[in-house]
Order: sequence, then structure tokens, then C-alpha cells
Amino acid sequence: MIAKIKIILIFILFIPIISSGQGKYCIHQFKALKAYDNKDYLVAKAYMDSALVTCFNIKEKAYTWHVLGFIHYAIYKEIDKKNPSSTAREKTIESIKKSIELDTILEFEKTNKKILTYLAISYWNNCVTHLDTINYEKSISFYNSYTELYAFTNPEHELEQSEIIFNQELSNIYEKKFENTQSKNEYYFNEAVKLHKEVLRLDSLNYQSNMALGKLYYNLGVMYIFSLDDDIDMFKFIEVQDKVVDNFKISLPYFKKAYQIQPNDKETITGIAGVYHQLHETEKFMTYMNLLEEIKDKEKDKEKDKEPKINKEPIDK
Amino acid sequence: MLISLKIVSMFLFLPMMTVVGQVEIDNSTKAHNKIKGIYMYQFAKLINWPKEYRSGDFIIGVYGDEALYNQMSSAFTDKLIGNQKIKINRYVSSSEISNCHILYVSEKKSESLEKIKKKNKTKTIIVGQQEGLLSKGAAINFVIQDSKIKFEINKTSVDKQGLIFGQTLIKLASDIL
Repeated sequence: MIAKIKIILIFILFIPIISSGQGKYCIHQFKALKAYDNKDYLVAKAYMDSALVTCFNIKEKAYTWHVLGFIHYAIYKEIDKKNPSSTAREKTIESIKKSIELDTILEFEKTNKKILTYLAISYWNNCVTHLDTINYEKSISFYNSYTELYAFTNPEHELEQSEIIFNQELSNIYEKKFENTQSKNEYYFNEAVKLHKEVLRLDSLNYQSNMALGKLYYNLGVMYIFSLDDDIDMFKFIEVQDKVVDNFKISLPYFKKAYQIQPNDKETITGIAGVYHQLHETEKFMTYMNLLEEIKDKEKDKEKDKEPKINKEPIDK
Repeated sequence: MLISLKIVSMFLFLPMMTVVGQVEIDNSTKAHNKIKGIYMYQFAKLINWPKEYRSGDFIIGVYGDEALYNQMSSAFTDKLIGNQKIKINRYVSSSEISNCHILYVSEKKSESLEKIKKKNKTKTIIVGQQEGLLSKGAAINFVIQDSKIKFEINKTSVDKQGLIFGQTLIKLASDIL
């Protein structure tokens, strides 16, 4: 008798699921769309959550995830006000990706990709606004999300350019952190170097990264000298000098590459001259210093040419 | 029902920051002087000075190199060698030079070395920077080897002065006369 009652109770409990799930139509999803139209996004999400539990086969439909994706997107945009730490953004991506996976007839392809592209851009923007010495780790995380999503939506596009820009800017942050920390944590120096080297792997003729690497190694050498303690053990002192010279020697090819790319750049020539001076190669130092003077003179002449001059020829002959 | 989306593109661009750090030739000269300064201070510490040298201030003279004088003056003035306070003196003319424990003679003033040596032969350790300067009377000479500042010593002449180079200096000298 008790067993019979139990079976009846279970049957009664599942009536709504069975009734809503059996047909093509899902009342919860319908209500979710209505709530979405009314801008009740949290209500819309709650209905969709119910729909996923109660409506038969709904999880296998691209449309379901498309709708859920847009609801999450609306929450990210309208309720979370595009807060960078909003989880609704990730949920949007997750849902839209599922929709794309199930959308064999490419019914929602255009809008699905559009929303993902938009979110990829939002990650890039968050990456930019967080790129400072305090929030740089978040910036890296946003950049990774950006590249992952951008590559997913635009597999045919190369991300080289944004990688170069991001690496260079991030390496500036590491460099600042290296210079501003009392302990001169070499982790930051190494990270900055690694990023610029990655840029050069993508574009060996990148002027900025060649210059940056030249300066990084040069300045490291100089830093070792200026941080020497006057009472240093003499044997240690000799060792540090070796390390200093090694860094100057490493910096030189980068400066020279930069010079090859921009032969008239005064800063590059100063860099090369600086290295030769540090290495006590006086003749080479003088060669580059003379070159620097020549460029300065040429610039002065150009400035002079720009100045208005009196017409010495009589106008009426 | 298809949900439509209007994308307003807002692509922020990274501000191109100025690259941190500049190469300055001035820094290079300062770096050389820092190294020379440390050497001079270490020479003062690592030479065994006889009793008659160990009273009053410890005088380090710099002749013909204002930048080195400035660097050493700010780094070493009033530091101690034993219980003697270091004083850094700058000399513009060779006639001003007297009573230094250590005297640095710049490369451009090297020609007056013999004259200085004659005047200060008993007491002063003369440090120079020019090839072959040890044979002209310098006790220590800075030389460039493998792009580094090193030093050579004239032990014979220093022994005659009654001074003793410490073992560290002897070990590290690139050449010993």
C-alpha cells in the first residue's frame, strides 16, 4: 500500500517536467525570453536555469545556449555594468561557445561570433586599463582571455601585432618594477628581457625591442657598478666587474641592430657610444660621438633652412 | 525569436609609454670613477702603512680629474682608514701637492709625474693611468685589460718606501714590477 502511494507521489511531482518537456515548446524558455524583453535579466536567467532542468532535450539545442548567452551578456552589461571581474562575461562565453558547437546549420553563427568578438575587445580594453605596476597581473590575465577568445572567433587572423604591443608595454612595467624596487628583483628584469626577446622572435627588425634590450643590459651593467659597496671584498669586486662587462657586451648587438634599423637616431648612437665608453674602447667611442655630432649639425642646418630668408634678388630687374 | 546585438566597437589602444631608462655618457664616466674610487679606497685599506703614516687625517689627493675628485669626495670623506679620517684633496697645480698618503695623477697630468715623485718621494703612493707609468715612478697604475679597469704595481719601489702591499693587492695585480 505504502509503495503504491510512493509511486503516485513521484508521478505527481514529475507532471510539470513531463508536460513541458515532451513537446517542442518549453514554457520556462518562453518566460525567460519575455523577461529578457522586459529587461528583467536575472529573472530571465532563473527561468532559463529551470528550462535547462525541466525541458526535455533543450540542452542539445544551439538556440537554448544562444539565448542563455545573451541573457548572461545582458547581466554583464546592464547589471554588472561591465565590471571586469563580472562572472557573467565568462558565462556568456561559455554559453555562446556551446551554441556554436551545437549550431550545425550555422543559424546563429553571425550573432554568436559578434558577441564573442565584442567580449574579446572588452578583455583587451580591460587589459589596457589594468596595465600598470599594481594591476599588471590582472592585465596579463585579461590579455590571455583576449587572445584565446580572439583566436577562437577569428582563427584566420594573426595576433602578432597585438602580441608585440602588449609584450613591449608589459616589459616596460617589469622594467619600472625592477628599477623601483629596492632589492632590484631580477625576476622583473628577466621577465622584461623575455618579453622583448619574444617580440624579436616575431619581428627581428623591431626597433623598439632592440633598443629596449640594449638599454636593459646596459643599465643593468651600470646598476651593478653604482650599487657596489665601497667596502666590498676585492675578489668579489673583480667578479662584479666581469659581470658588468658581460652585460655591456650583451647590450652592444641590440644597439647595433637598432642602429641598422634607424641609423639617424641619436639615442641609438648614444647607446653604442655609451657601451664603447664603458668598455674603454676609446676610438670606437669617438667614432660614434662624432657621428652623433654630425647628425646634430645636420639637424641644426635643417632647422636653419626652415627659417624665412630675405630675398636677396631684386624683384624687378 | 532571434536576439539581435548591436556592437559598439570600443577598442582602447595601449598608450605607447616612453621606454624606461636612458643611456647617458655622463653615467659612463661616473661609473668609471666609481670603480677607480673603490680601488683607491681599497688601496688605502690594503696597504700596510708604517707607524709614521698613521697619525692625523688620511689624505687622498686627486690631481687633474675634477669628476673623480667629486665622486671620491662625496663617497669617502670622513670614512676611516684604521682610526684616521679620510680627507680628499683636489690639486689643480703640481706645486700644491704635499703630504698625501695616496695621490691619483690623471692621464693628462702624467707628464708631471716625475716632478711630483721627486717632491713626494718618501711618503706618497702615486697612482696613475698611462701605459708604462710604473717605470716613471708610479707605485700603482690603472690599466685596461679585457675591457676592465685593473691595476699593476711597482712592488720594488714601494718596498723602498717602507710600505707593504697587502697580499690581496699582490694577488689581484695584473702585473708586478
